[in-house]
Amino acid sequence: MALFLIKRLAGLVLTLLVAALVIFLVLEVLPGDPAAMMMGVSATPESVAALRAELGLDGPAATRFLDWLAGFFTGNLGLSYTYRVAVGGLIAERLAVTVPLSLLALGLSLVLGVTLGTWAAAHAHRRSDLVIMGLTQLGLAIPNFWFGILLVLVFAIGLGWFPAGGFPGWAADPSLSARALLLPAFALAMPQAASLARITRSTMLETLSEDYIRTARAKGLSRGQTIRRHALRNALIPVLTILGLQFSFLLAGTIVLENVFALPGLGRLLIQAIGGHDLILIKSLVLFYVATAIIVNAIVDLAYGIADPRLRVGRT
Amino acid sequence: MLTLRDLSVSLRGRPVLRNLSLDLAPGETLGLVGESGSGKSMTALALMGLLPPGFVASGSIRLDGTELLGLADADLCRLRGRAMAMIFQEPMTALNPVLPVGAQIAEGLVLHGLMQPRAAREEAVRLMARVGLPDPARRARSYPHELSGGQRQRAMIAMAIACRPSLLIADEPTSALDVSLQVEILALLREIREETGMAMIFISHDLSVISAMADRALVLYGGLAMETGPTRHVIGRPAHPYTQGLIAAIPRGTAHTERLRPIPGQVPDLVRLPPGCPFAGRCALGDAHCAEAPPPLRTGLTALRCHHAEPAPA
Repeated sequence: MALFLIKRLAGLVLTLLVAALVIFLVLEVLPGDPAAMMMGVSATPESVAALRAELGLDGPAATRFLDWLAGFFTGNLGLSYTYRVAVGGLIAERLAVTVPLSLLALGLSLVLGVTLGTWAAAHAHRRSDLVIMGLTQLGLAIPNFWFGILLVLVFAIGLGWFPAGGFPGWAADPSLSARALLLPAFALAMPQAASLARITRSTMLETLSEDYIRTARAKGLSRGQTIRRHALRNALIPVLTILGLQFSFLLAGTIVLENVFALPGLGRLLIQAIGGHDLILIKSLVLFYVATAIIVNAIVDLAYGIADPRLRVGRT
Repeated sequence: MLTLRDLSVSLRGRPVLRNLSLDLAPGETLGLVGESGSGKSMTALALMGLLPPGFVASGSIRLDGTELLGLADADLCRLRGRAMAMIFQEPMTALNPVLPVGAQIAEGLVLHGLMQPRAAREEAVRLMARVGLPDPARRARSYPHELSGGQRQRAMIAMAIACRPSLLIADEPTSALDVSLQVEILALLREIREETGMAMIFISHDLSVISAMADRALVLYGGLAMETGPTRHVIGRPAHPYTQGLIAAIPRGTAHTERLRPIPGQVPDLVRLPPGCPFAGRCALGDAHCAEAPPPLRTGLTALRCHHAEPAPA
């Protein structure tokens, strides 16, 4: 087991290093000098060179790459060109929006998707199944930012139950902050819930035809008890894989929806950084997204062992 | 205790099991014999009320005075696992892969309100010891994939007998096991039957297994009971051409020079049965009339359905 974990961890670190290198190189070969951009067209070559030195842009690429990596451990990722504050602090501050938003969306999509998918499988080829499958088809086809705008029109502007956008901050107004995240989380969760529901339905149908389901029924369990106690866990093992893959899409979705709902999260920061050619901020943000996606997939890998005892390593 | 009258099962109007009638006394074992596709498993699933979607049962199944056909699923759930239990053929796939074996055995005891969870877990360990699983306390925490095929079938038996059912249906319980294990499992089932006095319906395609287990045998072919009677008569003095063919087809295992004597032809598809005798097409005595009209029931030493053959006088 320990060996397995070490191997997994080594693979994880290696993937992250390669990802960091790719991000660094892409931004390196990109045209445009951040120092020149910050100083404007009237800057003298001397002042641009001075700023380059100040920002640490004049060293060899290898040194700068290593300095950047070291920054993830020391917390010193440099100063944002546009905000003139530490990149590390900027990211940490924005996480207070993006982390709860994505976790809420993930939770919603999981609960909605698994519930609807299981219901559809239990009532396969009947009316409720057809209705659910129709809705999931729609959920997959509608872009989530459009759905977000629709939600704002109905629930924020029409009914006034939720704020239409903006984020007061957890310290200022916790309950309003939570409500501000609900609509975007729902919009974000919808396509994920739709595809999870479809996958759950098909894996559940497959599971329900297994011999051990008949054994459970022969023991005296009702159909519902059989689904909850015997089928669900087996049906969710393949769903786990999809969940890991979907998390990357969900993260990408936060970038769009934070802009639709004017939420001061990482995604909004990224768009602003791109607009301002804030390369040092973009670099760290992109790596942060990549790292999150990779780490979540590694967690999913480990979760297999918990969900399926046949995949547990080093046990007899 | 179990009475079947004219039990028929059909799939979209086509009969797959026709007019099966039988009686089973407490402690008695009935052997259901037949080739695959003869309707043996269908009979078992109809008894349990677990026919696959699309299959419809008609007639009457009475267990301890209760009519099972037409009973609501919630009422059947109270009987399944409690009054009647079932052992399935495939020990590899009949256990839930993600739950520990002990928990699967204890589940029925709690479900039927016989025990609290803690007591049920202890009872599961006792049951596992009873069916001959080594180191039962540790094995109870094992998952099915950590057990061998024979061990899984023992666990399956422990699960089925947990609530002390009065009727145990065993559907080819040893067919997936190798021969030495078969002998052990059959011996175990006989022991448990002696101890508990439960009645058994033992399903097998293997006549030697039936003769080792069953008091009475019922030969099923194409969804129709061909011949039934005391096992020794059905096997020792078969009168029906199909039963005779089955017995002649058993390899004697004496000489390599002896050729197997299979029954010519193929088992008819259960959903495309002829209106008359399903064996008509393969039978040496068969004529045009056989396939048209259902064969009459004739009784003697055994009871059989045939247009031509007569049972030996009782």
